[in-house]
Amino acid sequence: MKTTLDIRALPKAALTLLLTAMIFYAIDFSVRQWNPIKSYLPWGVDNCQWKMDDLEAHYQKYGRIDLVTLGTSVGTGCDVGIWQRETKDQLICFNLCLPGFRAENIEFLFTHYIYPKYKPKYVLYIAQPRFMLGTEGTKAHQFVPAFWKSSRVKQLLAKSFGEKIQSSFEISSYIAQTNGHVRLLLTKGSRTGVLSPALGLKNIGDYGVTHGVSWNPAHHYSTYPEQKGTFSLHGALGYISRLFSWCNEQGIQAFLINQEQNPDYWNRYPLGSKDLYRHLIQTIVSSDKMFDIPTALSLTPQEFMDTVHPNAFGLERVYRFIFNNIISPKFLLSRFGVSPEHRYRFADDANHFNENFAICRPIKIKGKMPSMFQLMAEEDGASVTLGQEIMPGDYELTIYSYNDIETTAPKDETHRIRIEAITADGRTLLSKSVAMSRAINSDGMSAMTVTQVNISEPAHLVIIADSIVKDKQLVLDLMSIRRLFLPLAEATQSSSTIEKQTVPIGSPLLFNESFSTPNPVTTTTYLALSWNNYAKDQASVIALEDGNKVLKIECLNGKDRPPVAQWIDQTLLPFLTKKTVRLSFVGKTTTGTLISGGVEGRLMGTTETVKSFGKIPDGASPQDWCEYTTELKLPDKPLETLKVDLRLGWTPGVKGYALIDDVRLEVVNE
Amino acid sequence: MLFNTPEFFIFFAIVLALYFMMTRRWQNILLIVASYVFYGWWDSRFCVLLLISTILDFVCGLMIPGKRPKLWLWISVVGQLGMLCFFKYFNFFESSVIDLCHLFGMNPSWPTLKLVLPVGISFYTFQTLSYTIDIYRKKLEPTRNFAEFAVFVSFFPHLVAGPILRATYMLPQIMKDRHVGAREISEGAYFILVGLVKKVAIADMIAPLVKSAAENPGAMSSLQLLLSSYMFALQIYCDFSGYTDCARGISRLLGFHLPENFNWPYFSAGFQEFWRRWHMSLSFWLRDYLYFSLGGSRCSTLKTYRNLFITMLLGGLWHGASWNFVLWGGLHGIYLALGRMSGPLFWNALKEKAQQWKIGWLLTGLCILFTFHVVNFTWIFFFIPDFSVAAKYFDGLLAFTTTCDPDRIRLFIYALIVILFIDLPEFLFGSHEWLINRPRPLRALFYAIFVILLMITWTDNYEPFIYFQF
Repeated sequence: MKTTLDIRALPKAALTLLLTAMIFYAIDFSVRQWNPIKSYLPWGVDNCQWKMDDLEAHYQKYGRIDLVTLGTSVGTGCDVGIWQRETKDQLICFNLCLPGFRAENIEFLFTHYIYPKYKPKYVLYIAQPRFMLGTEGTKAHQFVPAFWKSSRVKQLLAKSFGEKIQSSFEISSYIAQTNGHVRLLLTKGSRTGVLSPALGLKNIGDYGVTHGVSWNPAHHYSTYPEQKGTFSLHGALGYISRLFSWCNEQGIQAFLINQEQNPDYWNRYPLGSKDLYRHLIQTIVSSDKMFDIPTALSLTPQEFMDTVHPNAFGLERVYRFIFNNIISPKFLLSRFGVSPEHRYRFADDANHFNENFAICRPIKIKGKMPSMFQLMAEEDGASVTLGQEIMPGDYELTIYSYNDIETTAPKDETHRIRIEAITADGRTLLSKSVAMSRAINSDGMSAMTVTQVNISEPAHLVIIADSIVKDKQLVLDLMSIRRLFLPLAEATQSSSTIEKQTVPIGSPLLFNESFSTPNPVTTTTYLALSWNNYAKDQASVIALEDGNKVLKIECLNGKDRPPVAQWIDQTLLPFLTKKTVRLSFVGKTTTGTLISGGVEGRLMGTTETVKSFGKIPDGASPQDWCEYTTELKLPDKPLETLKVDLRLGWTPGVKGYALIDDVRLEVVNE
Repeated sequence: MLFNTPEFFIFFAIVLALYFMMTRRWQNILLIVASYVFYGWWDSRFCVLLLISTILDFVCGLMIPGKRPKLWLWISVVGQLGMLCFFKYFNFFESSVIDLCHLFGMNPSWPTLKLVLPVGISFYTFQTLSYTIDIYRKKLEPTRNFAEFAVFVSFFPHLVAGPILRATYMLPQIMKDRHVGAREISEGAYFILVGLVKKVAIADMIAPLVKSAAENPGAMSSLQLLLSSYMFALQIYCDFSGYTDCARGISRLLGFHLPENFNWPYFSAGFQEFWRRWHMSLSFWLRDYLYFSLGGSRCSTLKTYRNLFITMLLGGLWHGASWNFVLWGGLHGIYLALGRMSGPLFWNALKEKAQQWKIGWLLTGLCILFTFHVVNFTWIFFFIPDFSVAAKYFDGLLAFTTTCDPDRIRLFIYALIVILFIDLPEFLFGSHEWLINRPRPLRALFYAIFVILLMITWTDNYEPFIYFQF
């Protein structure tokens, strides 16, 4: 048979391929040797390890660190070197922003490593509303118009804060959660400007900032998978809040920069960081007199701009991207799915490759840095071992699962994992079986499971797929391991009191300042509930076309959203024993719709629950807000979980709507 | 299935492996099956349309040399264009009629059909039409082998976005044994790599910024709008020619040669030249089957201008069922007519003078710049369907404001460098295959750079090719 392919051509093709591969790796090798990347950027670094090395070098050089910036990539362009130069080294600054840096990692890194070692006086936290969003998927972010029309950022900008400050969840709660320590709100948009004085904030106003090291603008709008879910609100804000509180207690002056990430800012504020930092310095100087920077004020805008380092040029970023990380067999393998955990890291967003990798890379700060691990499994027995040894103590593990089990599936269809602690000599200290929370929906939305473990001696944690639902895949992402400094037993025996407070959901549930704990971490916590916003968002789209008893609220992107269950922060639970918590909200229901809500707690180590539920009935209040209150007396035993559960119900076939607003959770003193 | 997705690579690897094990007859069967799988990947219902189109023109092709050639040609033309009009233009005409009624105060209500445009229908319709018309014009003998004809119509590398093949070009290749040697492998790999770089590393990278400008030109400075228009010119070129390159590369690996579809169009020194370099297979199709049918240039000057205008107008409409495409095509018709008009008026004399003064190169350079900019600004109507938004775009351009976001400048420079890296050597050497004849180390260096570029820019968000919608 005469073949089409000329076999003699194959060796030639193979030779070319081989030569290509050799050149490919020769370029990689030579650039790695040369390593021009680390020293290129004025603020220095690509990954956490380098960041730490540079910080140490900076510290060694100047003998102290006065100011650090914390945040994600949005802050990487903040050239704090200019402040140091302008103050003639009165203010020793270091930029610790890392692209894609997770809020819990920032908090952990700062409170447990950076501050104890370097004791900076000032913290500048550069956040972005994306952190506050939490509900938009990657696609939604990429389709800019749809995103900005439908997302809550749009609402954030569109709302009149002056009139509806109570219900303007995003910004007011965000600021409230910082426990009054926000001193500066830097954002774009006149309405935010209106809000700021109302909250007693200094506001720079209409100045945006270009994303410092952006490469592909499309990636501005992509998020990590967990940010599709409720992670951001529950997690990021909480950690930021915690950090601010912690800073306050340490006497560190902390500032928040809320960096608006609206595509418009590219167009309106082309000068970007130069404008921003000029005004930032001026505002800080003029408002707080914190920094003695006379020269900065005397600079003309042009002079100032001349001193500002340009942002990393796009091609340079490509260059870093190629030679620092990409060209490695590990990456190539991961590209073809050989190593799932790597594939996961890379697949999400090429632009964030460095950042993910930087965070995931094992770090030398042994036992201090929260780790991220991922487990993808389809069969029982698959496991992942945490790369670093865990020191003895109580730990809280936050695990996200991205499984495809419908929330409507029978309850026994739930993945289970086993968490084991293995010592260096192979002994098993702990073996805990944990049921994973149900995924929010079938579209890969994440569900968070928080569990606590006690480690009695140094050990490695191993997560094992214990009971995987048949034909379903288990995808776990261990978000953080956080050490609990207040053992549960001590907390329950505390004689401290909790004063009665009424705290809107989304604001911190504050405890008495005199409340004594061994560690400030537990003195402030937060509750963040986005329900009222969901309800408002959905008001026009709650068409009630589905036939189920419980309404699945239409999500902004058209996907079903299950009832909202707000899990209360674990660190709060020890203090709630014997207390009464009161859930209240106002609602409107039309004929055929109802709102039910309640509080449910599960006792530590058992399946026993305590709960209190009620409802605003069908058609009770189509026009006016109807108030609803339910109270739950918590027992003397510690709780493992406590959640607020809100649902909308409706009669099939009936068109109507249900609205919820002003959801509050109170701790009521006896 | 997109060329830039893992599914396609797996699909193609399987097809290729099987293909090399078969004889020609079975290869043809495999190609038909593969093509229908490829096409059905979007929507399996479309395969029926493709099959109907194939059967219709196969039968018509057989009948045309018989007793009533004109009738069978008309059956072919009406059948093919009928399908095209129904699926592509029905919604457009319907909404236009409704708009017209509204203009006269009427408020008609009739049931609307929500038709989905089958991918690539414009391409394969024109392709099969060329077959029957060529038979009618006695340029081609009809094939009696249905499988061969089905391969010609459905050949997957070019099925959804061209090039629009002629039966006279493709059928002979289908009818003979194929050979894939070192040259074919080299060319195939090179074209695929270059095509992917154009698509992934250039077109997809700049697409978001172009989109942002097209959606909200009012918020942009003149400089941003200007850069965005340049970027769209680059995007559409890289997107479409990238597809063509991939199609050509894939075909080479299967032992087929596809014609060039782009010949460095932005280096054109006139509009006629531009259309000889841009989407060549469509330009030549329109020329041969529409412009010539209207009388071409073998008629009065005025009629020639009319013919040019009508041809380009319909060419614009071919791109999409929307008035902006009509305007875009109409403008190009006017440019061509003006270009033709200017020759005897002053252009020929000017060229002669420039040659005498030895500044012909300068004149050519200026012409390239002029042509590019006119084409570039006309693209605005191509990528902004709403005329009021397009008007805002031009307003913004004329405001002469110069602020600009760094990302836009960076990406523009980046895209320019990459495309010049690819196209400039091709242009200077006068061949798309220039690298194939170079020493192996040089080839390997280019390949390595291409792979690096792809690895940097490749994401899991696979953007479809722009021309798929046509």
